[in-house]
Amino acid sequence: MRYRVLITFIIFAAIILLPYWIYLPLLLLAILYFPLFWEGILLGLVIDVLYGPSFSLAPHSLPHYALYALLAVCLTLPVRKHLRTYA
Amino acid sequence: MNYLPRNKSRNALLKPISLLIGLFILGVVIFSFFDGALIQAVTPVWLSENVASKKFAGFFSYFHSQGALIAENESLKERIASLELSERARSGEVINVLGRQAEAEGVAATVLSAPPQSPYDTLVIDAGSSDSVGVGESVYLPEGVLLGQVSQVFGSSAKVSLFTTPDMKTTAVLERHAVPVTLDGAGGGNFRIVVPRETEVEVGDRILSADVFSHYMAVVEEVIMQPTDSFKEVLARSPVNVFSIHQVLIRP
Repeated sequence: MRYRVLITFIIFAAIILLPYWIYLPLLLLAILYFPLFWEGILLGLVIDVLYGPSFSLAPHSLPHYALYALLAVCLTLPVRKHLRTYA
Repeated sequence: MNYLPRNKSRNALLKPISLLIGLFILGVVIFSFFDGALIQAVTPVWLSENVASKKFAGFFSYFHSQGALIAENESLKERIASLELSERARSGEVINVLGRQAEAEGVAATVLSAPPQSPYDTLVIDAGSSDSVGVGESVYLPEGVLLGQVSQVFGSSAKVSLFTTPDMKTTAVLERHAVPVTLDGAGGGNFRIVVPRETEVEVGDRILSADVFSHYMAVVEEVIMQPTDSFKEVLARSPVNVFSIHQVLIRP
C-alpha cells in the first residue's frame, strides 16, 4: 500500500516537472501493475487541469487523459484475472 | 438458483467499473471548479524549476558554447525576419488607410510550463486577469513571432493554446504570392497545409498571419505531392522551438 502511494506521488511530481513522454508511460505501467489503480483517473485529471483546455461532462469537452486512464483501468480488470506471473 | 460462472464474473466486474465511472464523474465536477486553484498551487514549483534550470543552463553553456551560438544565431535571424515584416507593414499605407494604430506594447509574461511537459501543445504563463490578460488575446514571442491565443485565464496565470495544437485551424497567408491558407495544427510545433497543386510553394517560404501586421508564423519544411494528386500537402513548422520558450508577450 505504501509502495502504491509512493508511486502515485512520483507520477504526480513527474506530471509537474517532467516531459509527457516520461509520465504517460509511467502512468500506464502503474495502471497495469497495481490492481484497480483508481488513482490513475485522478492523475489523468491533473494532467487535463494543468495542461488541457477547460473541460466538463459534456461529450465534446471531456478531459482526454482522465478518460484514457478510466478506459485503461476498466480494460485491465478482466485482463488481470487471466494473467499469471511466476516468481 | 445456480448461475453460470461466466455470468458471475461479469457481475463481479460491474461493481468496480461503476465505482470507477462514479469517481471519474465526481473528479470532473470537482476538478473543473478548482482548476485555477491547482495551477496556483503548482506555480511556485514551476517558478523554482525555471530558476534552477536557468542556473544549470548557465553552468552547462560553458561546455556547450557551439550549441548556444547556434541558438543565439537562430534567435537573431527570427528577430531580423519579424522586424523586417513589421517594418514593411508599418511603412505601408495600408494601415493608415484602414485607420489602424500601431500595435500596443502588450503584457510580458514568463512561461511556467511548455511542451514537452504539456501533452496538449499549451503554455502556462504567469500573467492572468490581474494583469489585464483576457481570453482570445494573441501571444507573441518578444522577437515578434505569433505563437497562439490565450484560452483560459486565472487570477495570476493563464493558459495559451499554441496554433500548432492538434486540430486547431488558423487562417494565414503564404508570403510568396500572398495566397490565403489554413494552417492545421499537427502538434510539436508543426503545421499541415493543403493547397491546390498549381500553387507555387517552396521549402523555406514564410507563412504570415492574416492580419495587417503580417506576423511571422511558420516556415515551409517539406512539400509532398503525388503526380496524380490535385492538391499538394505542405508541412511547415513554427520558426521557434516550442520546447524552449521562456518569455512571451500578450497583446489584445
